[in-house]
Amino acid sequence: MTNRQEKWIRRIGPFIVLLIFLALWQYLASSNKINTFFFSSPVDVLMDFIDLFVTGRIWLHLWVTLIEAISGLMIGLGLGVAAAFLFGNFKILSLLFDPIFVAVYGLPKLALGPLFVIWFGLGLKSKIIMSTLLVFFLVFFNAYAGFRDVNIELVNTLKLMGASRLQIVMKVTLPSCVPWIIASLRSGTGAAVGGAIMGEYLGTNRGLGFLVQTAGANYDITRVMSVILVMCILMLILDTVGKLIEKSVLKWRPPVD
Amino acid sequence: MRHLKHIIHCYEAVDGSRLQVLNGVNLDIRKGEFAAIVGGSGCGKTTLLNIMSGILMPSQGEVLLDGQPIRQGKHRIGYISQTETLLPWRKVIDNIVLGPELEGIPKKERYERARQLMESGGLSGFENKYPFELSGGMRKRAIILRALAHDPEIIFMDEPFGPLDVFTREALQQEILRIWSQKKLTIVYITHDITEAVSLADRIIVMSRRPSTVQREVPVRLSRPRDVVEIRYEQEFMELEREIGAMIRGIDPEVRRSDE
Repeated sequence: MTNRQEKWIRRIGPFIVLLIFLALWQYLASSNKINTFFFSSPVDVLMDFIDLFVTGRIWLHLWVTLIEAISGLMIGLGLGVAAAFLFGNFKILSLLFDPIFVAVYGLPKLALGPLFVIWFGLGLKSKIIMSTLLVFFLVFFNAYAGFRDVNIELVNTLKLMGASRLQIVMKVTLPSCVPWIIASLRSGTGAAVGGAIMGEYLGTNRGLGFLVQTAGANYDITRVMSVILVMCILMLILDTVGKLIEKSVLKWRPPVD
Repeated sequence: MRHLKHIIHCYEAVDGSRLQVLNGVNLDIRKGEFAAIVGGSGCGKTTLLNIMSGILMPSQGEVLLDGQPIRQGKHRIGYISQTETLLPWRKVIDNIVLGPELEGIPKKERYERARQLMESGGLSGFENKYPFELSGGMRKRAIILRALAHDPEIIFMDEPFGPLDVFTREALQQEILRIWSQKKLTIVYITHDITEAVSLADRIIVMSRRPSTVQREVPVRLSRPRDVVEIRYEQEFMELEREIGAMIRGIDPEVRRSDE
């Protein structure tokens, strides 16, 4: 495969695969080879998707989920970096808490859902906490690895130049963690949205997760799918924003290829 | 001005055993001199440099600066090692201002100083590039300029041009000599390359095998200013080079000559 061909396939290939899949699905649905009550059809989903926006019914739910996810992302990011920093600087903390963190990290967070609902209610708070929890561990482990990966030569260089401990942290340790934190920010975005929706499944009366949940309970498969489409597009947008942030923050790194 | 008194240093290995690297080093570094420290590999050259510069505390002995024990972070020290120590996330000029920035010198003043240095150091036009966009030789120049921006009382160099190609290395050696004489610096230069040591230094300190001491101090009385390439073909240079090489290999030059 030449580079030119590869470039074109990368650009349009996925769309063609998707189109073939949708055409096949539509064909099976229109010719009644599959039951549209269970499987809906691309056209129905698209119509419902448009309807959600035209009637404006989606905005409240989209907004709520976005607020939950972004709050979770920001709080998780802040706490994750702060915890990694403390662990990196105070060995006693890492000795005491490392095993506990690993254990909690391995736990399926959904299992904690009922507790959050009881403690923090059915409002935004329990969703934000779920989202925060998911983001926190991702960021923490990444940033912690970053702190331990700090180039000791750079630290020594600054020490010799007479830098104080604080100056070394601000001018070497933190900047050298930025790539790690950015990497976790991008996977953290997915976790934040996931956590918010997971929280909504546990009980609420608004949000994208709530829409899917109620549609599912009413066997409204078309609605379930159109809301999932909204989620996909939301993720795509957030990921693009993440990519742009990454590109502008990390322009000091040599390009990979 | 810098006086090393009977420095002994041991490293503790992972298995708990102790490895003695330095065995009673006594050394004086005089103000304004260009001193080179040479020795075989593993003779503790870098350890000695780290102790002299205050990064490392010796197991025994002390380092005095004008009669006072040195304290980390209290002196204007330039340190140039063989590794890349520019901060990769800072543009070249932001790297060069680092020393004055740590001292709290006003922004305008430190950038002005950096710009002048870059001009004289052949790096103008690269102020706003990131280190990865420069060649290895240019990054080394930037590191040297960063040390100079800090207005150091002494510069320690640890095989600074090791990984560079031979022509870049020669150009940088010449540059260092120019800066040294122009700014009247004190330089302690570590190398295993005898040719390099003889062409640059006023005095060569030959280290013995580990655990090492100062085996010999050899004055280099070649005239200045020197051309680092041309000087190699002078009779006196070649004799010195041979003599020091023999010392490091552990052979007395007199014995070898009578064998021939």
